[in-house]
Amino acid sequence: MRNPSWKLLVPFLALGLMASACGGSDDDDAAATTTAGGGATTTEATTESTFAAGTTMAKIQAAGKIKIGTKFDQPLFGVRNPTNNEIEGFDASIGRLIAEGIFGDDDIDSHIEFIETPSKVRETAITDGQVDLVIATYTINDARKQVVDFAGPYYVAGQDILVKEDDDSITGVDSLNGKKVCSVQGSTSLTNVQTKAPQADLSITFDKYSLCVEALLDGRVEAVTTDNVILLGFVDTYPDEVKLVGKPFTTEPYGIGLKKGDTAFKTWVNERLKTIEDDGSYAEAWDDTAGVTGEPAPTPPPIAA
Amino acid sequence: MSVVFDNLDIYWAGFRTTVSLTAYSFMLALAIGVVVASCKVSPVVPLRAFATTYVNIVRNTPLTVHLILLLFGLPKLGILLGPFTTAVIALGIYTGAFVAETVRSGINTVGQGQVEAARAIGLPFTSTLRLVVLPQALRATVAPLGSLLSALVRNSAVAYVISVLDIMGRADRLSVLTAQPIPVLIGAAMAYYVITIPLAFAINALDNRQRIAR
Amino acid sequence: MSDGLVLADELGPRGRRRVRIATAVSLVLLAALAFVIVRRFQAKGQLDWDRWSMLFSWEKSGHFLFDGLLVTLKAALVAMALALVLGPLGTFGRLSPIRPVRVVATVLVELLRATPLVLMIYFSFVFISRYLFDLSPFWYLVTGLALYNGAVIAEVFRAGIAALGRGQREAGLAIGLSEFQVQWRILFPQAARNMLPALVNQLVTLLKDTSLGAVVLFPPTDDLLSRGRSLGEFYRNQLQTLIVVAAIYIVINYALSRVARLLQHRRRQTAVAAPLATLDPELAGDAAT
Repeated sequence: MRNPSWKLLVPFLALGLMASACGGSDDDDAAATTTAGGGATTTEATTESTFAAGTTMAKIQAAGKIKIGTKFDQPLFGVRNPTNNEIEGFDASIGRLIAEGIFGDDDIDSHIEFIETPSKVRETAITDGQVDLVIATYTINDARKQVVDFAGPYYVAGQDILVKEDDDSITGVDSLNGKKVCSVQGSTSLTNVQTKAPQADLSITFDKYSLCVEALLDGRVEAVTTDNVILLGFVDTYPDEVKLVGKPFTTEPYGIGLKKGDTAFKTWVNERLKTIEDDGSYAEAWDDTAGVTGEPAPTPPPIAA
Repeated sequence: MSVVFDNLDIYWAGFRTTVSLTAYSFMLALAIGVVVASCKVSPVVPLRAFATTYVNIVRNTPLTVHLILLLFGLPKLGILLGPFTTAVIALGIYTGAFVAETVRSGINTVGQGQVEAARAIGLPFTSTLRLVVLPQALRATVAPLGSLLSALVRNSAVAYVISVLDIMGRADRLSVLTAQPIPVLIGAAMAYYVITIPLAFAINALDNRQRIAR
Repeated sequence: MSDGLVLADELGPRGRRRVRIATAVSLVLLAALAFVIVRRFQAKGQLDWDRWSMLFSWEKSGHFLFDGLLVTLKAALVAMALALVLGPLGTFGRLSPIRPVRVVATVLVELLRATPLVLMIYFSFVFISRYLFDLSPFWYLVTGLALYNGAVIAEVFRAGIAALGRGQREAGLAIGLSEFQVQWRILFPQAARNMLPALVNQLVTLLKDTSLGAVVLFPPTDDLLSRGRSLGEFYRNQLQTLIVVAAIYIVINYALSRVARLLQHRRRQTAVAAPLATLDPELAGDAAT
């Protein structure tokens, strides 16, 4: 027998190699790429601008693509629609509006690569260069400012509490002491409630808020806590079963995360943000996404220096 | 690595949880496995069908799916259990399917001649089973069962995704807290090695002893 | 009782009657259990058609899940291919006549096998992304899987070679082949052929293990399970989607394990040294997830 060992391994190896080679485009960008779809419409046509050489904007323009990190599972703010693989939501719309400042508003989705950045990885995604911007219900705080820079804020949320419709025992963050509360590992929501309600039972945590809400509905926990806009999405999903306590106990300014020290980029993003706030596209983006709950478009917060 | 030593109490708590999780799950798995194996060799058709379906469904579903399905499915049946108990049940059901196959296989290794001899001296069905078949069958199953126990210890780590505070669960939270995942995870691996490595040696010894006996 | 012992004589009239009663009783009990479960689900609205309808539509769910299934299959195959390269390396290392090589290989293989797979994947993710380069979640999953299964396969081959008995090796050395030549040309091919059913079963295990990428990594791999979860969130039918996802896994894995069984029966017919109890493919000594 010549060398029959080859005969056995070859089919497996061949299958494996073929498998890894084919479909390369859809796996190498695993949970990343989206297909073209309805982008945000602007009230005025935006044309491509030119940028000073060496700036991040110029590099992005040259690359033809901007990589934006966002959530894929946050109702109203960043959700992946399974029927068309598009990312929808307020954060995604803001991302599109900002990108239009580089690429113009012609077929903007072909210039954007949305990459899923769950809470835990938002900082590393920026520092490792996986994304150019992070727009993912990203609260600005000092600890994070050590590692990344923030443009904006573009929205101010507040941490609130979600309870079952018929539960009146929880009226604010203090009444969380001694109750079972669910949140997500690695989020500021978790650390906030640890500080403000030290006796709260936080043994049950998951990697997604939707699981926390499921646990709430099952009676496994008594409250879910995170930013009110995130909870709003769940109130929208389960209208008669849960309610917001309605007493936000923190302020959560959402910012646009970008690489630390890139002042030119940050300035440009802030300017772009101001433009879309002034020309009505901001309000329009809100109405198309989070606004479906009936919440009116908020006044944009003052942009930090 | 100082991160590990500063938090030894957390690792210890996780270790205790892993051990009890494994112990309870294994006992449940043994019970389920023996029952299912008996059903499989029983002349009663519905029981055989049930056992075969059980094994085929459970063995071919990933453990992660078991865990998540039970965590969110049981409450819909009106049964609300904590994450630890849910994990015990999931691991028990999953491993039980493999135990069933092991036990069945063990019974089959006993030679037909043994049974015929038992019949020849007039032993009825239950006595044949109890005095002749099972003792020999059990000897054949000890090593594979040890192997399943070892696999169970490693599988128990998956339970952390439903919020069980075992070694893996504590390590996950600790690595987020300290932002030093690598030493924390290495510490977790060590904690598992304390269990899995001696177990591997024991299984090896058992296997060798059994081979000589045959 | 197809391949089992006959534990008692043919049943007489009393025995047959007892079996008939037991059959009836067990049927009633099983039906009652099923009934209770269905009723409870229904009470909580879990059987409502509007929670299930979208799962049977290609545009709404089918296509999305199918793409996830492709990723799952791909991950399993690529990991298997890599493991098939790493595995024999480990085997030859452990069988090497050079002591240091033997020691290192043994330690590595045993350590990898003793580590929970979840930990391996989590660790691969953290280590590679921090110190090496950025990969997509798919590759972190595959790395963890390949390392772990490489060690498992190394053991499978080693035990397979051991089961061949000393005669083969001695004969090979007697005709003048070197140690390595004996391993590569005589022992390994036979072991590989014998272990083929075990390898196919390992592939089934791999397919199940790919689901870990959906719960350990962040962001998760875009496989069947993670797509199932996000689909369940989108349509607010987590439980129903999970059941469908489980069904898909079951069908595919069942088919594969039938293939393994077929191979095993063909093996048994060509009289070869029987595998050790711990390696009997049916028992899957490494029933990791």
